[in-house]
Amino acid sequence: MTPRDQMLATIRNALGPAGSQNEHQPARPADRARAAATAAQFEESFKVLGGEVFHAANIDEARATIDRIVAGRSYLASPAPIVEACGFSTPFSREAAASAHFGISSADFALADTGSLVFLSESGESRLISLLPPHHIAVLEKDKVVSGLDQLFARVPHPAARSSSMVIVTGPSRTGDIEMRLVRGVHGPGEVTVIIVDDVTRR
Amino acid sequence: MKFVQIQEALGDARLQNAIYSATARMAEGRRIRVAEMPDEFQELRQRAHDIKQHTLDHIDEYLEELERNVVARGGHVIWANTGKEASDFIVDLARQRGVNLIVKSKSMTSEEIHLNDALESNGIETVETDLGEYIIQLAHEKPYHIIAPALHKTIGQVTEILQAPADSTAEQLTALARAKLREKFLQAGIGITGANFLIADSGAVVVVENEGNARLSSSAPRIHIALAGFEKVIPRAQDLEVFLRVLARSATGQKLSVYTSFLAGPRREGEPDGPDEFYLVLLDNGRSRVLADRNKRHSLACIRCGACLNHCPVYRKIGGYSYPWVYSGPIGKILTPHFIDAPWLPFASSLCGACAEVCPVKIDIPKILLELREEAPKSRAEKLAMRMFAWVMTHPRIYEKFSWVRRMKKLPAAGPLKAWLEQRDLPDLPQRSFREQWRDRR
Amino acid sequence: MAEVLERAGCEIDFRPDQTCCGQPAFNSGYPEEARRVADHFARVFDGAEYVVVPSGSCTSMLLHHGGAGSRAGEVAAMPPSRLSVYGAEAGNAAGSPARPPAPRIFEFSTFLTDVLKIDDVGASLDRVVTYHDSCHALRELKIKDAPRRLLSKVRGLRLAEMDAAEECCGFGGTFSVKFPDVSGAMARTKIESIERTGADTVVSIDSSCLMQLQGVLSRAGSKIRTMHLAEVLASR
Repeated sequence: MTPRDQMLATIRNALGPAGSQNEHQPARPADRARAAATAAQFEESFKVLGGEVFHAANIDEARATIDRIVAGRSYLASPAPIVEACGFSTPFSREAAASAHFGISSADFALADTGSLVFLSESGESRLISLLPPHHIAVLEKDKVVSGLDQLFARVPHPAARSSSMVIVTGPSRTGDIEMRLVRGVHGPGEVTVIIVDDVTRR
Repeated sequence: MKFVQIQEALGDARLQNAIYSATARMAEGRRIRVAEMPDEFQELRQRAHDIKQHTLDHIDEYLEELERNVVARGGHVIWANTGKEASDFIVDLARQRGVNLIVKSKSMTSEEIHLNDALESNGIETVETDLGEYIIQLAHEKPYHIIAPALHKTIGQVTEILQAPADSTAEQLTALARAKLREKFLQAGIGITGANFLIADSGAVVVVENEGNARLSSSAPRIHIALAGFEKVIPRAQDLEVFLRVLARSATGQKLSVYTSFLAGPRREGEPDGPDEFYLVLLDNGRSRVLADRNKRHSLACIRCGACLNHCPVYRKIGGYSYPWVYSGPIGKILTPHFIDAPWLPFASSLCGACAEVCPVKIDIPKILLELREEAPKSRAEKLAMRMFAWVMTHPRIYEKFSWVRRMKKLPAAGPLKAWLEQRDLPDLPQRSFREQWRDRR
Repeated sequence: MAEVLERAGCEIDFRPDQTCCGQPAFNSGYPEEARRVADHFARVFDGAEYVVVPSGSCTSMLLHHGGAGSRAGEVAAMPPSRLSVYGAEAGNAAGSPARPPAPRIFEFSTFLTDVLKIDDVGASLDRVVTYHDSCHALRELKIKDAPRRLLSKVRGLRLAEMDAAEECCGFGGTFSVKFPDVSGAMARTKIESIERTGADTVVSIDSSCLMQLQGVLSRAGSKIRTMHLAEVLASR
């Protein structure tokens, strides 16, 4: 008997005879009626967490904003279309991710009620780009703001079908492990900036 | 019994204050979040409870579904009946791959099976990367609290442990640890994480954290191993909404923790980073004994938020080291007796019920404590005393004869009463009992 | 409690054969012994219209645990006849709104507010009091407002809420015997919270909490005294 078969047999034995009272999966309740998510709500939630938000009417404004923030310092940028459109893409390497001051990537979704950003690793976006540099800049199309987790999972019911990794990031990396004092930027970035672009089709 | 640790905790005023204020802060954070959505929060708790109950009752099917989907995503599932099977697999894999440095993110399950000892004794350097766990590892101690492992350490003690300059601030100490651990992340051949949830329909593990160390442990090294008790499985990715919404609110009073990583297998084509190999180690190690006990099965629904610890007046006095196993607080009291011999543990509760009131998956901890008390071995003297009690209480004439007790000025300070009287005085009782007064009135 | 209820127009039938609800055995892991005692309770109170209990803890035992596997559950189904007062030994009272399946057993304070619909019993007491939520009344019976409402109508009385009103006093029955140091430490934390209110009196609806708090207050040489809600409401 393999350890697998042994473990499953032990579990089945523990469960006892089949046919319990909870035959059916609890149904998902209908989504609550929520007010349409707005970028303004996201911005408010995100700022409470210690994040910084800029608005850009179009790609050119987004590029100018990023330029101003980066101010000539080192950066690593992802090959996501919106980042490329801003003219910031660089080749990926672990070494570059580990040494760059900024990581610049797109965000796939933003959650208005919690101020979270959602990153899938599809379309060639690195995991480490939002993790190793001390300052992360995420570029977000305005219509990617959804109300919250329920809408995220309605839009992406099977994250695993799209990518090996989906991460929901809610604010800068933080810890309270030393006397419950809040410190930002433990292992991930201590600073997170979002550029919300109103219309990516215009320049 | 851990009486020495209890006495130490009670006698240390600084520690008392540290435990009390840290737990109060987390409890206050929870209170504020729940107050924002009182009715919805209760609905979420009920749904979380129902999903867990359903899953536990059909867990064999969900584990097989999980395995199929992990394999479909290019990962591997290792079924470990015991802690030794789990740590043997990890040690062997590290050897086969020539790995001599492993980074770990916080995992109570790995504490449970003494994984670090197994790795270190095989010459494999193993580094805890959660700041609190790192401090505890350097101090050669155990986590003090499920989600705040170094809760009992002062900033001065942390400064010493990290060998930092005197008067370092929390920011400076954190930066120091960040720099040291960053090197380890980039050099390690294996990253080990726990898992908050296993998603059957996705073949995914979900890891929730605030620092980014679990995200790094699962993304930077070439191999990612997730170690989880089998009870962590839930059916669908969509069920996460419910659990994520109660987890961080219950734990620290955040709406969501900073990083929620949903990880399905190794990196795929076109993905620039992520592990080349992914292993999920599913651990039993005695969990099936809890599963077999229908009345206590729901103990396995725990999502390790720590809310029951923060609200427990006993934990807040005796602290994390007074419990005999890795899981402390109320949840530790109901899990531990299934795993190690600790018959006294279920009695170390005033049954105040604060834990059940806050549990995000509605585990009825006081009820389970009562059942464990019933099953606990009892002394002959106590059994006799309880039989006497029942006999007196069902014989009112005899019961009335005991009213002389009230007229004693002092009770003999002997036996269990002696310890009791060291803490408090007895109340002055009226000279005449209610029933005597009542009789006089008629 | 008897005085307050009589003033409120109730006829009281004190049944001298009454003893205990069985909770000490139940909470110590002896459900069989507890069942025997609860059966005795059911026999004694057979035929009562209402059973009013001066303790949240006992009420909860009877409503939530006694009903399971003992005849105490049947008290709920007893035909209405007279009013019974159960367990007034310490001259104290506590109560709760009964929930199915035993609608006729009531904790004292909720019997006044929910059944008799009274919140002013005409009492007066010149004291500053703080109210201690006993765990079983609060969490198992959901009693929070009734005692406070009753206290707020007592002339001359000022209610000062403590920051840790809902925190356990540390009694816990045999817990206080098996872990006396922990129990005592819990009580002292509670007392610090009581002292911060500036109150001269702690009121509760459970005698066991009051015994614990009084014991530790008196050991600490504190002037603060404990009173059962029924004592307060009987004061004029």
